[in-house]
Amino acid sequence: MKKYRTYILCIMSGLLVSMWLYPDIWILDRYLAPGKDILMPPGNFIFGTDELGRSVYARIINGLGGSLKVGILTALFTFVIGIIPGITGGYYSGKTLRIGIVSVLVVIKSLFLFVYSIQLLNTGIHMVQTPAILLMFLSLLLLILLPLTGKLTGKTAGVQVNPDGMISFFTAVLSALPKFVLIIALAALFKPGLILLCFLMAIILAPGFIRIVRSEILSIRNTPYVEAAKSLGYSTFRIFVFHIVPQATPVLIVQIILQVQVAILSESALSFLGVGLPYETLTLGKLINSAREYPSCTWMTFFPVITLCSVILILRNFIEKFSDKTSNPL
Amino acid sequence: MSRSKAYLSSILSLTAVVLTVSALTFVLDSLAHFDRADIQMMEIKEQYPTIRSNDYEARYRSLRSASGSDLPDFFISLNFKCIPDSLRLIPVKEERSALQNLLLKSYSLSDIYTLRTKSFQLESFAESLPDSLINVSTRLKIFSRTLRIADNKSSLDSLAQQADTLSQEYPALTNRLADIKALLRVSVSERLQNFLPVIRWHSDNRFKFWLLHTLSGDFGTSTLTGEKVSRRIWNALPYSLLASIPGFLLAFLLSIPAGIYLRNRYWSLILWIIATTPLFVLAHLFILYFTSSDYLDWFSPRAGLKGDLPVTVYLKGYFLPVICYFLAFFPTLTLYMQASANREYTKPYVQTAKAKGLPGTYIKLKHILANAVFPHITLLGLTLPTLVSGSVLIEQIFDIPGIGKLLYESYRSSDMPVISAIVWISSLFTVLGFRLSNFLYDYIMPVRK
Repeated sequence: MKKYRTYILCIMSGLLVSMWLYPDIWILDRYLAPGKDILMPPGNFIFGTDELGRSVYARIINGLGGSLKVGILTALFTFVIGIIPGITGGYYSGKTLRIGIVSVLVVIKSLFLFVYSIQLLNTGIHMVQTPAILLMFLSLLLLILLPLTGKLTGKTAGVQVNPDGMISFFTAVLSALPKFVLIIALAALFKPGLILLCFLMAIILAPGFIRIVRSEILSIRNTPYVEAAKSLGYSTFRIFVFHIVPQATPVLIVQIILQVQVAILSESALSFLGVGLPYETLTLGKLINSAREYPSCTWMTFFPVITLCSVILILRNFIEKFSDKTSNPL
Repeated sequence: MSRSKAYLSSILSLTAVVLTVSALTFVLDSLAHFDRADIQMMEIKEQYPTIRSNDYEARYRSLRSASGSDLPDFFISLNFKCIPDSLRLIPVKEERSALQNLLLKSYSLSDIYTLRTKSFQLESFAESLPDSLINVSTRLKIFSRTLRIADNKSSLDSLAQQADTLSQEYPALTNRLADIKALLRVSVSERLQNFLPVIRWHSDNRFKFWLLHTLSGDFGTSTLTGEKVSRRIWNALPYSLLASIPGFLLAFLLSIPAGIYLRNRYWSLILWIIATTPLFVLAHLFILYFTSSDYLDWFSPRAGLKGDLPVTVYLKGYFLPVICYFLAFFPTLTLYMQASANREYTKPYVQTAKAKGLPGTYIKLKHILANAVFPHITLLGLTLPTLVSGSVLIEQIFDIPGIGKLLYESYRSSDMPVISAIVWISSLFTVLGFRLSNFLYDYIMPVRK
């Protein structure tokens, strides 16, 4: 079984991906135009038709595309949000950074300017539009040039900052908020589209990602070759990019696939409740939800469920394969 | 590092996390722009369409000050220098923004307030006119209402023209309209120094009162029903617990022997399949095949029951939700138990016991179970929030009127106070559960510390 698992995995994922990318090859139905009746599976339509006479198979392909889109986008956003805090927290764990007093003042000042410029823009008065936009650019420029100010001012006076402590405090706060409840609350507030929903889910999933990346970096930090790079006088940025991140790649891959899986699952659960995405995007959860009103038409529930389960199964298999590799690289 | 110091620091960090979570929930609440006073005033206006404008204003003010919505949002506020702090007291939103715009365009504050009082006087004069003069009184009323929401030069100019035509048509009004006209014709120029920022400190603010109310268990009133939010949550709690606690206990008790005994690959395959299948799919399939008359009519699809019913009815309703909770918890708990049992299997004392020739069952029960079960008990704390808030999916599918379903209904009707209260309570339980499991771990295994 274990010997053939890779092959089965490859074939199944290939089938699913080709279903999504090249639906024309796999559509065996002769009549794709909406029919009139609810039809049983073995017939012109391979998986039967739904209440409006649409082919369930064609809808599953569309819904699969939507679900995968949600999963991949969310994983991408989670990666973008979580990678920098994760690496910073792991690398500076147990250390304090001294930040120049000028840099602290610059941060406070630019935040103030940013809020003020937004308030100016909100008044809607024509005279202050241009100054407001200029102020906003100035504040962002100050934030971007911040590392430079830190170098210019030297180490005379400063504030002791514990970056790891700050990051773990924020992950603790974010993970204290209940995930599913929070997604529903945010969906009630924003009525999100595809990209906004993915972004909100990414914010909620990010703490777990940050924590695992942090612990991985923490173990890599103490390896001899990082010490060697440090003693050769390489810059911190170079050590991050060329020494630490490549070593953490397997863990990152596992985490990204895990985020894809969790995102697909939670999105389909949301869609099943009727909470999630707007009408345009079709996902597997929506298919299962729309079949709820027709309990006697088994095929309308069964085939989307099988597709969803197999997607989750494939992703979990990938996760296990990569986790085996990380614990046992040879 | 003494133990008391560790406890102190953990309590401090707990407080910090709770405060931050409260702030986040407050942001969630205030982003929804929910104001109970607005809704009450709309109801009052529907009940008494002929309410006098002075009375309306006074009632609106008192309602706003009672609900605290005329307070600033936070301790610190950033605003423009020409805008006074007292502007918040003006109840109607359009009038407030109109006044702000006029102030930013360098109209003087005293002029604006005089104009406002004059418009109220004019409106009450129009309301006191006899019925035979209904034409004049309607025009005057509309005129005085537009006076209060005029927010730029052109609209003020057109109002001055209207005042001219009014005084030409009805010469009796000339005296009343003369000073209004004089105020409307003030010439001003826009100046940049109006936009200078000023930072103000407010010791009384909405965040402070929200925090105090929340910590004392008062979450405000629900928009949908007008009931107390805490009352609604308290009513929903037993239904959630009735389904989640039996399911969790079943899973917890069965996972201990399952983690020790069911160690072959077939069992792990079954566990893996259960863990892979999404929970809502399982629940949906249960509803589909075990409750409808098309397939098997064994159980009832509705679990939320009240009153004095025979036990079998409750069993029929709650069996499937309990099974769903069981299936949700069982695979993870068993995997944890397996992991901790595996850790014990490799320890030297088990080798010694084997070498002594003790029977396998004896080793499993006496040595491994006793040692592997302790870390397992700490999981009790981590599942606390799920038990209390219930699963939205399970409660929605099986129609249990618990907290999850309450959340879903509040989502449907955009009932933001209930939603933020549930978010706050479940995050509090998450934090508490985490600390509880840490504490249990320290208490059970003091050696590791």
